[in-house]
Amino acid sequence: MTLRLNTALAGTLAALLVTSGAAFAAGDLTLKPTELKPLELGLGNAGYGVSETKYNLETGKAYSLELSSTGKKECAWQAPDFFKSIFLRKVEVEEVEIKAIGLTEIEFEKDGEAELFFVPIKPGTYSWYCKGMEERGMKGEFIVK
Amino acid sequence: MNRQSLLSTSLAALAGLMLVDAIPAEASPRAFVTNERDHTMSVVDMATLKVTDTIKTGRRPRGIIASPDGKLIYVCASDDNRVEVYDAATLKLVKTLRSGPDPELFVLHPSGNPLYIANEDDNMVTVVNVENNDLIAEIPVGVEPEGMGISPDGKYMVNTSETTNMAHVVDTSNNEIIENILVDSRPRIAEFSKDGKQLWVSAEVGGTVAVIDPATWKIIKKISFKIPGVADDAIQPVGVRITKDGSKAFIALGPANRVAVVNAKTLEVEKYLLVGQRVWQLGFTPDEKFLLSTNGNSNDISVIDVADEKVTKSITVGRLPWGVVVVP
Repeated sequence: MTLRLNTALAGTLAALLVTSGAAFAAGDLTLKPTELKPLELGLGNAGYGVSETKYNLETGKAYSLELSSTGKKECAWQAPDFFKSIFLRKVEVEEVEIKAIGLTEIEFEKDGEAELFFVPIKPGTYSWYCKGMEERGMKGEFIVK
Repeated sequence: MNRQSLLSTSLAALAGLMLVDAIPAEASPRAFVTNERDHTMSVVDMATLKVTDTIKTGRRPRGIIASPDGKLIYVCASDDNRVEVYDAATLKLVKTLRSGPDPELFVLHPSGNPLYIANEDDNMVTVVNVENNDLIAEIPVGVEPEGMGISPDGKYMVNTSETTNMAHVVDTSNNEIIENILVDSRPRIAEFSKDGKQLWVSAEVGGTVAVIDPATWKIIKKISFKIPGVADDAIQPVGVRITKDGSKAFIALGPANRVAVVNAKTLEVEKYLLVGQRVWQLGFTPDEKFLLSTNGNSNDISVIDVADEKVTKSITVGRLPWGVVVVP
């Protein structure tokens, strides 16, 4: 009986620790990013296709996301509410690393690549899109838990 | 060599010289095609339909036009932020002209001067004197200006802005915007009919072509397209050309790989011609017997017989052919 209670208590404590882990995180949260599936824009014959429409993320975890465009459609890639809810570590474009505190848009005028390194800090469902091309399907979501 | 054979050799040589001399005078029309990915321009002899020369240009050549006499070829070297001027006969670079950043399309005043250039990166149309490279004006327009048209009398210049989705009408006497016309998403080309009574504006993402009455600057009709077996979202109108007599218009439909033939009187689509992949811009031969289309993904141009409304040939050019102009 005592043993069982102890086990139950220990279980609850463990659960508490796990759930509150992120809130009490210490150390550098931006290290060892999880590589997300690359997001390719401008796929298919019409050029409106995208490779991913949904990303499931967690707060306090580091991620890297490679964005690329085929150049078939110019794409002004935006995610305004998402950009406000992440810590942006850097953006890599070719051999250049850009360290800035925020983003408003990544524009692909022709084919190209950019890699984002970030840590979500606020849960929510955030949309991304190629501005003006939403009705053509160039959009998706980041779901942050 | 005896006297007789010497004479005949000299005669043959003379005839040869005369033949060489005669070629430029009897030269057939030539098409100039910008190849965006190769940074080159292909020259096609319209009599033999063969590529005769490939000229190295500035980086990312896109818009291409000719002077009214056909002697000069103007090229937008988008990634070098300049306009290059080539001699159509010698194929040599004659001079470069200023432009703002990222010039894509441009139009010459019907008199041959000035040049109006859409600068995609700074939301301006730059007006340049082609004689002395002087900056005449900078006209602020919408976001990401692209298409450029001018009325045959030279009174109105029209620029389309890709992100603002408007056609901006500019009075060329004072370079002021007098009208903004909302069209469908991502307008690409503005083209006046030769009588100046219609302005056609293509919308790539919207999938339509707006026909506008320049007397009122109101849209008379929005032409849309349906092709059996082709997904609607692959129908992306870009290049527009109207015959001089105002009877037919041809519309390049991008990844639909078709050029639409439109009755320019009734504004009804009459036919779709299968061309190469991702058809972008169009250009008539001076006699309008043929229309050429640049096909970006298949790296070729298609030759369309204008009277028969048939595609007669395709000619391989460089990578990602973008624009085309044909000179006498």
